[in-house]
Amino acid sequence: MNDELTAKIRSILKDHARLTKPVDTLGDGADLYQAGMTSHSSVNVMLALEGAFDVEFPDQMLKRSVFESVSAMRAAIATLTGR
Amino acid sequence: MRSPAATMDPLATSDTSDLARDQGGRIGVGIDLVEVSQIAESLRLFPERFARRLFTPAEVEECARSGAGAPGRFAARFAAKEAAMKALGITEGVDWRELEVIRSDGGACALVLHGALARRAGPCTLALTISQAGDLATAVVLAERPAAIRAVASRASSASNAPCSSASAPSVSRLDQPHCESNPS
Repeated sequence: MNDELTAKIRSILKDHARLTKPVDTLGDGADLYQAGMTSHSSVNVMLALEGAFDVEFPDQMLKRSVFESVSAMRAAIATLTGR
Repeated sequence: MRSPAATMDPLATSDTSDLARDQGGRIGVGIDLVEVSQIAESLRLFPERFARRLFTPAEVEECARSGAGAPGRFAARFAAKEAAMKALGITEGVDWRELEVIRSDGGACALVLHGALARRAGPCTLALTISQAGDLATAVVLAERPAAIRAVASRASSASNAPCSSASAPSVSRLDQPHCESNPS
């Protein structure tokens, strides 16, 4: 389940994060902001995650730390979906 | 995301709240630059949801009225919200819709804070200017916060300095700019 979740997150990052390097070259803990994710592209990532997992990020989760890495997003999605 | 938006912008983490001091008050400044084409892409990829999550119904209506120019209007407002969060030094856990760009019939624009963000910001005055040229939209926001003692006095008198902390009516003093959106010729 974790692998599936991670793959889905990485696919969304590939489509929406506008990173300066291929997401496949980044580890799960890599800082995505350092890899080129902008404030606007992070919004797109958030909306794509919401659509893919049928969740809505509450205000208290709209934090840099929630979207700064694959592993952080995985934890957030797991929390929202109860997985 | 607060947003993730300003929250996720490395620039947003910089402390802009003490850049200037005037008569005991603190002035923060924030700036943001957005590609209109990228906002247009977001509107295409996330129809309805992009606008609904980031903008108030009044903002959506205002932008939609400009037809083909809507992406530019959304981009300028997105930049304004990002710039305001930077100016206020509040970038975490912010609902973008609690930052609203309003526009008068004369074209002047201003920022209004609502709800939890207004309470977090406390007494302050915001000044906004936004501009668009080609594929770029930009916004600059100045946020003036009075010193604590002035804030207390202001709340006590509840007169001149409209506190940002009021959650109901528009709660930020307005410093209208002559042009809300300009397109340099």
